[in-house]
Amino acid sequence: MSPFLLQLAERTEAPPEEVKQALDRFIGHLQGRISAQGSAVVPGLGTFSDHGGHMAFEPLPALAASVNHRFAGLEPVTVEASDKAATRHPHEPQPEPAIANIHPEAEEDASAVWDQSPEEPLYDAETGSQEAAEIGPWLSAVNESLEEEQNAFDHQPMQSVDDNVEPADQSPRTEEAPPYPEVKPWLLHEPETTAASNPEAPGIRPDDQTITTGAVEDEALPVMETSGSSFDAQLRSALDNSSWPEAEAGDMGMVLKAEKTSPAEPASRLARSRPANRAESSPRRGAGLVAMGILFTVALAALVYSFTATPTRQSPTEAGNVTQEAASPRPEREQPAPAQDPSVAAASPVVEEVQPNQPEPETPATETGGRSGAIDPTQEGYTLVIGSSTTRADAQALAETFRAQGQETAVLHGPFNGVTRYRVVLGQFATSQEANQRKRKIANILPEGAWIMSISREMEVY
Amino acid sequence: MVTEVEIAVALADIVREALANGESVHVEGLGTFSVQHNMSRVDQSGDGEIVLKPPSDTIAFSAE
Repeated sequence: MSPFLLQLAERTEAPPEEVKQALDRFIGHLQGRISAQGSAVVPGLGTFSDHGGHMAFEPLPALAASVNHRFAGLEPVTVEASDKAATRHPHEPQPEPAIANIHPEAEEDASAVWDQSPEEPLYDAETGSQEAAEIGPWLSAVNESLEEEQNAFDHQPMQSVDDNVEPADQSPRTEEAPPYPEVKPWLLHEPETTAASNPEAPGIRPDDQTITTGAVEDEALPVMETSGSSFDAQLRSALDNSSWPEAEAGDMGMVLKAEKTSPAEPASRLARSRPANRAESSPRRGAGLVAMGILFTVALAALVYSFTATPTRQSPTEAGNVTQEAASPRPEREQPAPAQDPSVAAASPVVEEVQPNQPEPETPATETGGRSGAIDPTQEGYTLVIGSSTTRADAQALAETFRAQGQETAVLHGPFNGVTRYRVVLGQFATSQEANQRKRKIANILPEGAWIMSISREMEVY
Repeated sequence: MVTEVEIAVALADIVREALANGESVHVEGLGTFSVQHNMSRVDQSGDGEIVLKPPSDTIAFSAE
């Protein structure tokens, strides 16, 4: 006697032999109905039908749902849209999200800043417009004063010496800001070219001697004693007190001229007309050094900033602001002489500006982070179901097991097709794609039956 | 005397309860009812959309 017959006899409260006979009659009647009509319905069970000589069974929907109570309410989840999936195999691993908004130049140039916007360059080293904007006004003011003084003393128009400007000083300039080393005639004062090309220039005699400094002993050069106007003395004093290295005339490649002047010319005129004076050649040398120092400072500041800001992804606006401020060390510009240690002076404002930008948390915004069991059903979204039970204790025990492995788990409770179940879930994700990515990443610790479920507001969290 | 209707009702109750508990039931002369677990799987539809289908428990029947 089979166990089924014993159960059937117990249910009908009839002897097993009698139940066996009644069962055989029932099966014969069922097969006859199937043969005659093709199918037969058993109340509370389903429909039996003939399927190619074999008997097939289709359960009633209520019976199927009661059997599938563990997975009640689950719906298919689209993990990849058709446009993305068209070119990829379903089982092909999805690529990891790449770091976005990195400007190509930022990867090539170590001094570049993250997310630098090409529309907002940090500093235009070619034009030096920003540097010129800082230094230009000071030099312009000095030169204009000198020009006025000299013009007042000597009404003769000044000769242009633009052709004698060093190549470094002839870099393209922006129209908005004056060129940084605003080369003025007085500062260079190299009239020899003008004199050579224009012997009839006023105040210069054709028999003036032209001497190349590199071929002349220093003793041969007349050293000027400062005896000009008070403004000359003040400027020279300021320049001499600076830390600029004393300019060597030969280094500048200047063609200096020992000018023969008439005794009737004032001493100040004589003094200004002798460019062999070291005190006069030093401003030009110093202007070049200032330009190089500023460029070096900017480059060093950008390099320091790149190291300090690398872990932090800044928005283009933030990066631009920080860099703009770091690239303009105003405290240095207020003094005519450059800082003693430009690297230290340039680095300090960078650090001060970078500090407020704290690194962003790496935790995805859509995933519930931190504490265990932190799932908010009101936020809806998706989660990974890693277990289901009809008792809360079993579900909580399973949740604790995964929680001990560092996973964020919770127990969701709710009616599923009329059956109360406790489901152990892991994480909360805004989209099914994110849930599927997480499922793949931790597939080695998930049970085989783990699946993605949409979170409903009706669910409760334990 | 047990009627065929009483047998049919008792048979449906026993099979339903057994399947709900994940157990198999063998009915002599008819066949075996059992629960088959289907794992979640990824399917790609005709338009290229990839769908993750949830797992499920279904009723399987094998006739004698």
